[in-house]
Amino acid sequence: MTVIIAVALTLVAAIGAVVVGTHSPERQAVVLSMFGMALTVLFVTVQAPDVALSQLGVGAALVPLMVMLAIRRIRRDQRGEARRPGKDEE
Amino acid sequence: MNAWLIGALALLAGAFPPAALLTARGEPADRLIGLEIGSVVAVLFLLLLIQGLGQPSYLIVPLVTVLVSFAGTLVFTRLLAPVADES
Amino acid sequence: MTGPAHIAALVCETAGAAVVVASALAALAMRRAYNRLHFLTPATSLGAPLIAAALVLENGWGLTAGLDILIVLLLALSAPALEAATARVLAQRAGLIDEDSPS
Repeated sequence: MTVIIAVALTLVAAIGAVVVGTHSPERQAVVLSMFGMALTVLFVTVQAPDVALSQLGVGAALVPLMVMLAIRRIRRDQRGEARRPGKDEE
Repeated sequence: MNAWLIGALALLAGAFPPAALLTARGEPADRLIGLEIGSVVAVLFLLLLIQGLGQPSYLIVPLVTVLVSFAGTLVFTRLLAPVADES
Repeated sequence: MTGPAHIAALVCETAGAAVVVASALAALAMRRAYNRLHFLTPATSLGAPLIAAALVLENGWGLTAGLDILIVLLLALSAPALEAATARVLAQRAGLIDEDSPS
């Protein structure tokens, strides 16, 4: 059992490092979702299923979705400004 | 350590790191494949772990994991698709 | 706990875990994304039902086994939809198909 907890902790640490080391936000969102999955596994391994459930809702679904929506909105605004330059300044 | 926990450990140590490595490289859509394999592996790991622990009430966690990862990956495929320029 | 059902459960569990580990490693070894995508199928359609069979053999028919079967069934049903959606995004981003081609 200790071995499983140790492996799960190591995986969480490694994937967390990958999340920090990824630069493009689109790619980071996918790795962040994977990080949420690893945290869920860790929480069930240390026998905290309720914490795992809330982590699953927040980390694997909600945060990546909001990150992706924000990126998409920013891209669209940037492209709109590039197409109609100077429209916002008036 | 009973046989179920050993199987769970084999899944966690043998199949989760390759999936995590797939999410760590390449284009965003390529990384999505790693996420899919990773969530399948996580669900099967949880099934074996819960059997090994003898705590069937924890089974709600893999059930929710399946549903949430399905919805989450579909959202990713919608939002990673290129935006149509003419609109 | 050394009845024939227990032995069969252990065999099924070992086989299922081996299939899942092998498909994850094979997906890592593939070079193109479309080839990687195919290795989700053996994990969900062969490995997962083997593990579910092991759990049912161990627990007998009951609420636990029913929930296990439900989870694996959902896994096996959702995987093809995910694969198709992912392949569509890959093709769109590679410029192989239009954004508004029917899915």
